[in-house]
Amino acid sequence: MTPARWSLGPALAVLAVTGVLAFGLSLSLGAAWVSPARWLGEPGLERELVWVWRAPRVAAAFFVGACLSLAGLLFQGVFRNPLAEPYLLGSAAGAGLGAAIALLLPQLLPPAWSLPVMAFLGAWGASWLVLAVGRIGGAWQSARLLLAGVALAAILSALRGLLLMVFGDESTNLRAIVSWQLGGVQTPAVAEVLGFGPWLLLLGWAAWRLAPGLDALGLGDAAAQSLGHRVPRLVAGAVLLAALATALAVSWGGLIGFVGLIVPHVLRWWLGPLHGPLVPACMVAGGVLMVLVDTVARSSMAPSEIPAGLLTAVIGGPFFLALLLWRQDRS
Amino acid sequence: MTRREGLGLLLAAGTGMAPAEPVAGPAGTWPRTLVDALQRSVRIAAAPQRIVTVFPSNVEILFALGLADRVVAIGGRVRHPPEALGKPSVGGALGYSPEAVAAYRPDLLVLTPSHQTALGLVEPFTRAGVPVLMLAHPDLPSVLRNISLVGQATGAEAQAKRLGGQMLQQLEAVRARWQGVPPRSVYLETAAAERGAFQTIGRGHYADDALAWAGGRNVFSDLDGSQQVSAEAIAVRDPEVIISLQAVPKPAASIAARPGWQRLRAVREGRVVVLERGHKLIPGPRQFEAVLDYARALHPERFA
Repeated sequence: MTPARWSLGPALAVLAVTGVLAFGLSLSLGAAWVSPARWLGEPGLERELVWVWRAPRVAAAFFVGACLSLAGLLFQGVFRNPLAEPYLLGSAAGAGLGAAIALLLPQLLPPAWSLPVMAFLGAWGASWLVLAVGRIGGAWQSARLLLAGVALAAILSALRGLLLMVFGDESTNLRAIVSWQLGGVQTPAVAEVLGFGPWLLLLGWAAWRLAPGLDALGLGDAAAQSLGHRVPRLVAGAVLLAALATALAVSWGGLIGFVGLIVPHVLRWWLGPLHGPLVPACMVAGGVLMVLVDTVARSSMAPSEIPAGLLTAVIGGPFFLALLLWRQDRS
Repeated sequence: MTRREGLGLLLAAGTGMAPAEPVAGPAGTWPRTLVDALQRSVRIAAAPQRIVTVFPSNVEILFALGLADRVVAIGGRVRHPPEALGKPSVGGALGYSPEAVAAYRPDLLVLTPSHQTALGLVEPFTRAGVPVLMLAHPDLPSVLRNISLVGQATGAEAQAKRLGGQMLQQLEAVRARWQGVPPRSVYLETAAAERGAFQTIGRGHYADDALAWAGGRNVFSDLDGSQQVSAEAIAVRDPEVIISLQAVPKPAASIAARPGWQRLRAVREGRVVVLERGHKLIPGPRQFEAVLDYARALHPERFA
């Protein structure tokens, strides 16, 4: 029997406190330590360093983490498979391929738009392909969707690898591209940071609207159908929403695995299986986690940076394994 | 001793192109045994007539030594010199096939240990008795040593000495242009994504040396080799000059437009220069041209 579950209010309060601490730490740590008293205090060089250089990136990290864990939550809900996440299901691979094309062939699109637009087209296109395969024969089969996603992810990753090898020589940005693909939060402009807020709210609201349907889907397609949910539309909506979240995350953070897998799982253990509370909780927790990871990436070997995707796997992997063992013990 | 002093010593010795490694037997005789960049002993029986080489830097050295006729095949990534483009390719971006190389019956391979697929050629050919000469280029003096080493391996010592001497003269000429003014601090961006993943170089990279010869002081010379740095690390070091290497150079304004960068000293003072990456990251004879381009970016008033 699992322990008593928390309700959303106290859980969000705990997450909010953790979040404030994480933001404070992240703003203070970097290529140089700046204490909160300094960045909250008198104007000066250090204050400028934090607010001009660090804060936008911290915001981007939160945004990336929130999008990734929301995408993971949606995919796991739709496919009723604990392994489902953007990286397994082709949408991240599609975003990665699109972004690689944008970075390798910069003359293709206006530079300001190439990366996010191509990442979005890649994630969107891959998700549509998976849905199309799942739809063949009329009946929806989650297992088939999942397999199609895994196969497509393999194909797209291979294409990306091929592109990198063929176009990667002295005359291209190879090192920057490889590093970005291992995960690296980019620094947005202040105006772009302000744009994150509405996006997050919109994504969260849309996901929250799907929550009852995803809960019903957890009981099986037939049960969901009988509860009055239009399963194909529900699945398509959730997958495309997850693709959108993945594309946004990839275009600002590169390819960062594990966040979309770990965060929804941990929160499900903590809050229970209902998607209503899980949507906001996952977004906040994923964002906070990513803020912490990016802080380590920026500051642990400053002035050098570590790709954030390596950190999520190296730190997140063992943490997740330990949690799995711990839960096994308790049950 | 700094590397630059070391390079100067190499020149001052008059035998600037003196063998960097011991040569067995009197000069001009075969067989000869050389020690290559991996400290491997390489025995060459007679003046090589069928040379296979991969990587732009190695091809450029061989062609600059006037050995074009003796090069039978090259790696597929080479874009310079123009006459090299007609040579058959033994592979490239996707790897180098030992079988394709063997088909040219080479009597010398010249490689650089920077690519796993190229390393895959070392074992089979060494076992088959074909000498494999490995070149490395951690700094500018080693580029000159490579020229000397290839000269010894091919019997082109005289050309190597001439080429090396000429390169040093050109480097000294560039230095003479800016000497008298203090070096300027500089951030050299070797690659970047739009808003991050800023790649630069530190000590142990020939470009760090090249900057020093051009009158620059690399703000990241405390790092080793190729490194990624954060935007705020660049802001903290606030270089006087920013040099960005790009495949297809965009206007310098694109750098100033990066979030926050308009506050950097180099941007405020208009000292941002975007250069075509081209040969600047190829550690061959054209490094002199890279140094000249860096010097123009660092001390434009001296090159007016």
